[in-house]
Amino acid sequence: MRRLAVRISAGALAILLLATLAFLLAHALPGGPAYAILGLRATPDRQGALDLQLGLDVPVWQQYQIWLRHLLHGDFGTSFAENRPVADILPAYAANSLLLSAAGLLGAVALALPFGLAHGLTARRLPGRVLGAIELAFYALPGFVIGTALIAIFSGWLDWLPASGDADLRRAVPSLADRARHLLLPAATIALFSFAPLARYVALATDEALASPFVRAARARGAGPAAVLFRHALPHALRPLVTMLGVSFAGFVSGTIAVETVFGYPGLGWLLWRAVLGRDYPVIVAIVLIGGVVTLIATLVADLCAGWLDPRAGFE
Amino acid sequence: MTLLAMQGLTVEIAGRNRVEQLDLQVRPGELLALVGESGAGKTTAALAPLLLLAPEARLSGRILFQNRDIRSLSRGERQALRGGGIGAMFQDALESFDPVQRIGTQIAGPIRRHRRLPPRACRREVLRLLETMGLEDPWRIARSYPHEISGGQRQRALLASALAGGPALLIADEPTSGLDPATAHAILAQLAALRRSGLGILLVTHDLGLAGAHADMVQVLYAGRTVERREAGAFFAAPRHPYAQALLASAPSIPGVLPAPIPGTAPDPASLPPGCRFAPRCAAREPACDTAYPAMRAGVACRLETAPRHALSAPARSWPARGEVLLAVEGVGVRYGGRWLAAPLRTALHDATFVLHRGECLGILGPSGSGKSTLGRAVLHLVRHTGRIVLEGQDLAALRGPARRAALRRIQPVFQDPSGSLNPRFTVAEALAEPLRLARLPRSLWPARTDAALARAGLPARLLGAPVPALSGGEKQRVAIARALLADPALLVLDEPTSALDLSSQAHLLRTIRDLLEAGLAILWISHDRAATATVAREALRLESGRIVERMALDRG
Repeated sequence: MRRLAVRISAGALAILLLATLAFLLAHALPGGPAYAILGLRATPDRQGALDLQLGLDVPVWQQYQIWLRHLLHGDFGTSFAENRPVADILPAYAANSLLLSAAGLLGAVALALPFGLAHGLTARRLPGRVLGAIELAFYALPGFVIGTALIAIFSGWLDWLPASGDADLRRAVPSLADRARHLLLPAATIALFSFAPLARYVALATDEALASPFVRAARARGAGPAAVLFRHALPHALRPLVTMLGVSFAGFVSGTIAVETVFGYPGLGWLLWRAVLGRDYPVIVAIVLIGGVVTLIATLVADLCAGWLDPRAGFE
Repeated sequence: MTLLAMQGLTVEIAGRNRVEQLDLQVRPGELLALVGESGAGKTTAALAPLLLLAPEARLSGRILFQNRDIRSLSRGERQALRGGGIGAMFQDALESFDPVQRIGTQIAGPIRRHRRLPPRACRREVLRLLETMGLEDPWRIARSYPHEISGGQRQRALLASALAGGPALLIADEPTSGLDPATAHAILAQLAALRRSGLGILLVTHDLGLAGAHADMVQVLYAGRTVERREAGAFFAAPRHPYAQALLASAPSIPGVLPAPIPGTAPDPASLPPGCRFAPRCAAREPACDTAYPAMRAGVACRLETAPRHALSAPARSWPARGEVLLAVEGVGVRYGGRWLAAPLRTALHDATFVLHRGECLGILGPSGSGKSTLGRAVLHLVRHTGRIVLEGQDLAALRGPARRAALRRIQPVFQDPSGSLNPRFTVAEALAEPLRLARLPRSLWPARTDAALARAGLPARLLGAPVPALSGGEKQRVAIARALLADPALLVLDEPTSALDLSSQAHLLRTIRDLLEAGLAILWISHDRAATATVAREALRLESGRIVERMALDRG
């Protein structure tokens, strides 16, 4: 329990540092919000007026002080581009991203477990080597290539699924089925490009467990192949899988930028990409913060699950 | 009727015969001890009846269990055999249990599988088995995970799991390795009752004392072949094969008397001698021994009519004279944990007080977990401790900086597992260079020093260029000792230095230790093997639950 409290407070500190870093990096981007908003109409006078309006006229360290004070009061500021509070804009995008990531990783696990177990069982024989090669191929393929290929096949050629967006815009209230249809391709893309490392970890842990003395001992006690696989190998394969999932989930903001952009899916990755182009400092920093918090929670949950899966984790 | 019979069994793995032409029999109620040094093929022979050898192993000959050839069994029958007909346990109990399952679950598996008991009866049976193995709190043990109980408890629980399916034969491969002798004997005594009701046991061990105390029959393997197979009492009274004699002579038995190592080394399985495999090391060899493997006559595979009695031990050596006091340990205590955010405080050592003289070896004996290693670590200053440690008249706690480092260099450790304490990517010369580099000795002086240290540790100088992994366990341990000697120590702390070694390597090492004592070195010898300790130490501290209970003389009682 005490360990949990320490982890959470250390995590809070890490997030504060992360927010500061994000703030400074956003401000270090060349150009500036005023220039991004005014575009070709930018003159020094107009830029100065807009800077005054946006609160960018004071030195950076003062901006940081103000921003930090607001942040600690739960105020993320106002988007420069949309002139709306960040707190009003983000939730819809965050929910979309969370849904996409969860669906994608669920798909990744559904692929990684059978793949990894089969690979681990036959690691030193031909089937294992073939499975390993397939995993390596998917590992090496960038997300946007997989995404584009899926769009070409399932939207372009077969015309089964929509190619972009999160809902059919012709309807005022999208149906659940419609949302699901829009989710399918981007989620499949995430599943396909993230299952490979997971499968390799599962394969490694399975192979290791199968070669271990305790599996030999279990076989000496009469355990059959099914009992060996499901009672002894699988629990050992789950632990690295859970840890890796926590780490993968941490990449849900950065990892989904390409996929959300390819599919025009309105999630945080897509929003971040736009905010960076528009030098929308408050939005950039808020998204980085959300990413940090999600990372913290995901790894914490993963570690708790690992401790539950392996009684030795709490030991030493 | 025989329970298990192997007839002309040969097991080939990767082109090498691990066992060859092995004949072996276990009758109901009988305990057959299969003894030999590591690499003799004992474990291969023990795994063969379960058909659990590596997939690339090739078997020839026959293995009969209850008069059926096990290789003719179907898949289902083999599974019923494993755990049901033959119960088996292998060396390390911590590794033989699945770390993420409770002990009780793992013992219940074979009961459910082979005896088809309903869950409630199954649970009762688990508790009953644990209790018959002499575990006092079976309920707690059954609920525990393997890492949560002590080594002795784990070993007993493993035995319970091997017996859970109600087997007619138990195969136990080093069932007591790593346990103190009292626990080991207690575990085997537990099996005596089961033997009376017909359980046959194949005990694989390198512990001759254990075999002598519990076996009905003894079969000695050397380089994959049987050299002697006789009734245990007669065998231990008068072993007949020259190797068996040499093996018994290399076991420490009489306090103060060094056991005799077997000359030479065991043959490389890739190039076995064409005739008797022991011939190259045999004192009584005749030319004919080198041409054909001798036939088994009256349980002995030796062509000599009456093999000459091997000298049972080296001539007695007198103890070196004790010098002045070197080390004084006064009220030393060690507590683990208790620091911020760590586990709760646990006292591992209470108020240890003793003195050690130059030229003296002091044994530190006691069961596992009694604080032996902690005492060694405290003397080495590897753990935080209370109390005073005075070396060569200097209170080490009063020293700081370079003076402290220089003083601590006078105490050098040698650990249990030589493979773990030497970097496998080094050659012997590189491993030995470490203390010299730390001492900032000019490179030109290194060769002379390393040669001298190797000689003192009993190794030939030609080993200097050899990579560490190419050495045998005994040689590695000597390299570790040579490395410790290069720091010019006054005191060596040896923590279970022989427990990973064969008897013959151990005999070599014990001799080296006596040589070092004569040269005036002082030694703390941490061990749970009283017999081995008594050959190098006259006195020992006996520890129990973190306290020194007595300082006892080892040459009597």
